[in-house]
Amino acid sequence: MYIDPRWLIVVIMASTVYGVLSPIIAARRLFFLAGTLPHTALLSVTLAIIISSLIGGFIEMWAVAFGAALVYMVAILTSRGVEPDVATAIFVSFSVSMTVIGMYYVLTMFPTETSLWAYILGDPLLVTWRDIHVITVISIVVLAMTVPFLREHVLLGIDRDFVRLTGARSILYDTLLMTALALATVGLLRIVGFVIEHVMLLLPGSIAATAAKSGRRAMIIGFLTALFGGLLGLILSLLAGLAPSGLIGLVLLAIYIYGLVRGGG
Amino acid sequence: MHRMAKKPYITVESLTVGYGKELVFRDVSFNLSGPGLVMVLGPNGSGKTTLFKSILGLIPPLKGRVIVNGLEVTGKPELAGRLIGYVPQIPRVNTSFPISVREIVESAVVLRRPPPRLLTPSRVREMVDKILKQLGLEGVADKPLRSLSGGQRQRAFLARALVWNPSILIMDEPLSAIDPRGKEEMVSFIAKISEERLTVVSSHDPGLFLPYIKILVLVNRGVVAVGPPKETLRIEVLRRVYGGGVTLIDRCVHVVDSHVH
Repeated sequence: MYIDPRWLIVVIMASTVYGVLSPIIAARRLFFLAGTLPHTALLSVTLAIIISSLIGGFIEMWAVAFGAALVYMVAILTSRGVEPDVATAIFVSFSVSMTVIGMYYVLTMFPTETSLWAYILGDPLLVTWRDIHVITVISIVVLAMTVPFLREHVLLGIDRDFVRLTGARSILYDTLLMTALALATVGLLRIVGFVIEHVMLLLPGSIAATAAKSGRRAMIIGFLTALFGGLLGLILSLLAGLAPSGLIGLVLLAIYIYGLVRGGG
Repeated sequence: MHRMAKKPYITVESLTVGYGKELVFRDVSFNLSGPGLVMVLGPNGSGKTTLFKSILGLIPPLKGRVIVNGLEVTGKPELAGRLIGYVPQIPRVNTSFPISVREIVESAVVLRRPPPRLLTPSRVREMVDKILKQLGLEGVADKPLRSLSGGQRQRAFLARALVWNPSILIMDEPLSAIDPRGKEEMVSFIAKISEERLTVVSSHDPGLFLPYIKILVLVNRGVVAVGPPKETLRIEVLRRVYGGGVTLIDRCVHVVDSHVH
């Protein structure tokens, strides 16, 4: 079995980024936001393709700008008391509909220049060295925005009032987290795909929240689960000749179900 | 850091608080000084939590100001948090994510420090162990909060509030998630704490606290009365707070609590 080092690098990087973000999402009960993020990312990339074709610039740059704006919009809506279910319904309906319109436009106007399927299915086996550079930069930025402040990110989800009373700048940490989420979803969409993003944002944190007995252990379990699921899914996909993103999702789902059956922490 | 004032006090001056166009309080003024136990009493939705959050600077008022131990803390939670220990209503805290009792208390020690929050681990551990022992939580220090009883959870948050030894303590519904036996223990503990601090609590079980209450603050979308229980627990005052749900039966006042809309 041949393993290209680029496949390993991309899976390890993506697992690390989502393995850190996912327990924070669980602690801050941002599951609904995490569920909408891949939709946001797809819309952002579609808009970015159109804009970069019309006025120039890198697709990634435009996509991150659109993605960040959309994520901030959802975060502001919910922080102002809009019910998460209502916000999700409105936002997913809007982004999915706009994505289909945008994708149709892209596929008819620029059919040979863009492979939109890569964004949806994602295939870590098709990564180039340029992709590796992109994922490395994004991973470093995302980890710098989250890892030094893990305690603050988690505690804001446990008891926001307390964090504000300590003088910690809750708005700064919220902005860092939202930006990190936008970068991790929009910036990595073409490299890892819609499916891996969905699964890796939600499941490692849920698994960690069920299994761990402390916040510290939850962070470690979330990270290790994402890494284990990513690598095992990759190896199984090479052995079976199947899509890695699908197998990574199934491995993580199996771990989650196992945790539920065992009863957790 | 918290400062242990000899004569802690809270002064609320002409406070008007609201959410959007809806006013919760208009022109509320009172003064509380300690040490001693102050109880804030009122029906569900009367604004007890809003009052506490306004005092703590978490909700900026539309008008008025709050002074704590000589410092104006209006809309300044970072300053109020240095003077006042706060214990929130337990059901309002997210316990679905695993966090241990030690981590809860540690957070109060560490987050008080400005970034990069440099503190020697042994110093943090020493402070946390000391307060956990005082509250009888040393046996459950490494257990997740969600696995504890209501009383233990309450004590964990009390430990977090007391770790810097504040001269003022605010507790929002401290008996709300505790079984009947645990309630008596918690009331005795709060009474003991209030001997050294200005301790402000809200509760739906005022009877248990009654022997220890120094001042009662009766609220219902505004402060209806402030004073010692003998002066404030009168049927006409209670009717202004609870409306028709108050009846006098054989010299005992019975209150049927209702939600205020």
